[in-house]
Amino acid sequence: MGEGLVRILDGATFAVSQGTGDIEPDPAEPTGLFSLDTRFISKWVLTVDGRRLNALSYDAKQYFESSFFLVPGPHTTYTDAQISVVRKRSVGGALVEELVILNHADHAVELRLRMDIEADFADIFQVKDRRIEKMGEYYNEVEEDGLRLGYRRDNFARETRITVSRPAVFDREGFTMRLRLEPHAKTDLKIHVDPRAVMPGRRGLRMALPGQGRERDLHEDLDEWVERAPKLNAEWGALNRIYQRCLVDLAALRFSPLALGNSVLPAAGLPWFMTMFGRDSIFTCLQTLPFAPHLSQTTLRILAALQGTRFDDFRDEDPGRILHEMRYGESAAFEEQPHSPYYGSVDATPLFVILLDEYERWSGDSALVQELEAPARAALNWIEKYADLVGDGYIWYSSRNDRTGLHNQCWKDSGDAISYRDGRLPGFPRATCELQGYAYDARIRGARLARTFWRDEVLAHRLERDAAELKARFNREWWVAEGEYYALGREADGRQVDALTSNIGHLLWSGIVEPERAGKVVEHLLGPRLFTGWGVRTFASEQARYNPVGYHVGTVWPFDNSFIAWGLRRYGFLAEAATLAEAMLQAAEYFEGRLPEAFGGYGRSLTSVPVRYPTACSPQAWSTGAPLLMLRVLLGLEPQGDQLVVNPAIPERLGRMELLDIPGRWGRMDAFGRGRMHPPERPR
Amino acid sequence: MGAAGTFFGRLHEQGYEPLLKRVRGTIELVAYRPDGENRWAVTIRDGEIGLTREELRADACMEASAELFDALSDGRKNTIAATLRGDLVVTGDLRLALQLTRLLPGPPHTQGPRYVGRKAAQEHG
Repeated sequence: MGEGLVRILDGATFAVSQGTGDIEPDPAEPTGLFSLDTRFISKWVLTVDGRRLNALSYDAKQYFESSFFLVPGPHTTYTDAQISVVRKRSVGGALVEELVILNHADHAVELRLRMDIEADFADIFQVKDRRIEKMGEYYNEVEEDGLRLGYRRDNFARETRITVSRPAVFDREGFTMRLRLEPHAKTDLKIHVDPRAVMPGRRGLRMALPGQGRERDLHEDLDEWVERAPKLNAEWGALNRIYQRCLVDLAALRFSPLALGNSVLPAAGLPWFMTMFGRDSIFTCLQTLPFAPHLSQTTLRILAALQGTRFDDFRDEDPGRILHEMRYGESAAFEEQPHSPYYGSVDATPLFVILLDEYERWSGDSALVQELEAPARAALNWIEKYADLVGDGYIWYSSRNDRTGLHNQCWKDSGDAISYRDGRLPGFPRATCELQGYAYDARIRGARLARTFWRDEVLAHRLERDAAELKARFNREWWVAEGEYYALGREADGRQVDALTSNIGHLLWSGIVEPERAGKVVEHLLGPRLFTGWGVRTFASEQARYNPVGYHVGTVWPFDNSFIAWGLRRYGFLAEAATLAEAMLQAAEYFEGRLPEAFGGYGRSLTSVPVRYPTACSPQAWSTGAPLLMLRVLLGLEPQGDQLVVNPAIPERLGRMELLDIPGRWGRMDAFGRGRMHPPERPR
Repeated sequence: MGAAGTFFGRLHEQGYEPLLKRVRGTIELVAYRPDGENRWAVTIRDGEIGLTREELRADACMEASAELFDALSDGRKNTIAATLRGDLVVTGDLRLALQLTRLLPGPPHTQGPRYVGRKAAQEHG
C-alpha cells in the first residue's frame, strides 16, 4: 500500500488521495474517487495564487472522513505562512469537501483559489492492470453553477457533477474563485462531487433507489452500529482497541448492492474488492455472527436472489451455484469481464448452506430458513450433481471460461497456489481438500435444516448417508501416509496433490477429520513448518514453491487462521486454539488493530514483528472478522438449543475479558473469561 | 412472433413456476420498436404467472428495444450486463425484476459443466 496516502470509504464508494488531499496518479496504489468500480475523479488539485499546498498534518477521523491542514508554498522546515487551509472531506453517496481558509495576517488579503479537476472514468480492472484504453467518448459541460464531466459508450454513461457553495468561475478543467479575507478573518466553502450512472433520459442510478437520495447521517449511523454490537472489556488494553477497530472497519465495509435497496452486506476489501464476493461475504458473516448477526441475514438473502439458474460458460454459472463476484463497471457491462455476476468459485455454494444453518443456530430465525428453502436445496443439489465433475463423490473445479475465468476456484486462487510438494502443477479438473470438508459440513447441516424445518426426513437421511460415505472415502483417499496429513488436492485420475498446507486446518473446522487423526493434523499446524509464531502459513516450508512472501504459498492469512482456531476448538484442542488466537491478536496489535489480508510468513524469531505483505488489501472484510472469531474461540461461545454456552479457554497472558450483550435467540447474554491457559507443549 | 413472444407465451401457458414460489408482484415490460411500443405486464402471485395487456399498477418496470427483449429471451444477451450498459432500464423494485429474469435461458451454445471420465460417460452416453 502506498505510504502517506489517505483513504476514506463508505461501502462501494471510496477516495484515495495524497497527504495534502490532492488526487494525482500515484505509482503505488490507485488514487481517485471511486464508486461502483469506476473512477469518477482522477485529478483533484488545489492551488492558492497558483501555488500548491503542503500538508502540516492530516487526520483520518472516521473511515468516511478526513481532515488536511495545509499551507501554501514549498515544503521547508520553517513555515511562517500568512494563510492556512483546512480541507475536510467525507464520502457518503457523494464526496463532500469543505475548505476553510484562514488569514493570519493583520492586513486584508486577496486570493485566487483554483481546483483542477479530471475524470477518466477508468474501470477498476483497467486501473489494476494500468491500461486505461477507453472505447467511448468523454464530454464535459460547463454549467452556470457547476461542471459536469461525463463518459459515454453507447447507452452506458457515467457522470461526475461538481458544484460549489459560493460563486465560482467554471471551465472545462475545474473552477476558480477570488476571495478577499479581512485581517485575521476566515471564510469557507463546500464542494459537492456527485458520481452517478446515467440512464437514458433518466435520473442517476443511485438516485432511482428508495432511500438512497437522502444523505445518511454517517456519524449517527456509525454510533448506532457500535451501540448495537456487544461491549468488550478486556484486561489487556490492546484487545479493546483491536475490537473497536474491527467494529468500525466492518461498518466501513458495509455495502448496499443495488438490487436490494438499503440492506447491507460486507464488501470484500479496499481498494480492489469493494464489491460483493460470495466467499468473502459468507466467511465474514460466519466470523461476525455473535457481533452483527443481521449481516448474515441480508447476505443470505442477496446471494439467494442472485443464485445461478442456468448454464452459462462465460460466467461459469450452473443452476444452484452461489456467485463468486459481482461488478458494476464498464468491463462487466460490456462483457470484457464475466462479473455480471461471475460464478467461478466452488466453496461459496456449500458455505451458503453452512451459514444458513449457523445463522439459525444463533438467531433462531427459522422464518429465514423457510424463506430460503428452495435456494438451499438448489445449493445442495449443485454440490451433488454439477460440482462432481468426475463422478466420484468429491467436488471439483474446471473453468469453462478459458480467457477471463478463474483457474483456481478455491480461496487460494492465484495461479501457483495449488501444487505438488515438488512444485509441479496439477491438471484440470482439480479438487482441493477444504472443499470436501465444506461439502461434508453442508450436508450435515443441510440434513438438520431438512429434518427440523422442511420436514423432509428423506432428504435429511440421504444427506447424512452421503456425508458419512464422503467422510470415510475422504479419510481413505486423501491421507498422505508418508507425511501423515491430508493432501492439498486430487487429480481426476486419483493422484494426491501432496503439498502440506494450511488447508488441513479448515478440515478440522468442517468436522471431516477422523478423531484419531486430529492429533497429527494439529501437530503439523502448530509445528515449525507451518506455524510462524504469528500464525499458520498458507504453505509449509521445505516445499518447492514455499516463499514467505508468496501470496498463497507461504504468507499468513488472518482469516485462514481464525477458521483453523475454530477447528482446533471443535476437536477439543483448547490450548492450541488459544495459542493461535493469542498470536494473531498480538499481530493485530502491531497493525494497530487492523489486520491486513496477509502478512509475511517469516518465523517470529527472525523478524520479531509481523512483516507487511506488499500489496495486501486493507481493510479487508475477512481480516477484520478474524479477531472477532478469535474472541468467540477464546470465550468458547457456542449456541446449544436456546442457550448460549460459554466455555472460556484464554491464555494467562491475556488476563480477564468480558463480552456483554451478545445477541441471539436467548435475547442478550454476557460472557466472562479469565486467562488460565498455559501454552501447549510444543510438538517436536 | 419473436423470441420474447415465444418465451413469455410459454411462461403464460406453464402458469406456475416453482422458482417464483415466494414472489408476488407485477412487472411492466415496455419493448420499443421503430414503429411504436409494445407494452404488457407479467403478474406473479406465489409462483402463479399471468400475462396481460391490461394496464396494471406495476411494482417494477423493464424497458428496452424489442430486439434486446428477443435476445434476452433466447439467451443471446444477459440481463444484468444489459442493465449495467444502460440498454435495459429497470425501475421500481429491482429485486422483483431480478427474480423474473432468473427464468431466462443461458446462452444458446453453452456447454455446461466439463465432466470427465466416468461422469462424462454417464452424462453423454
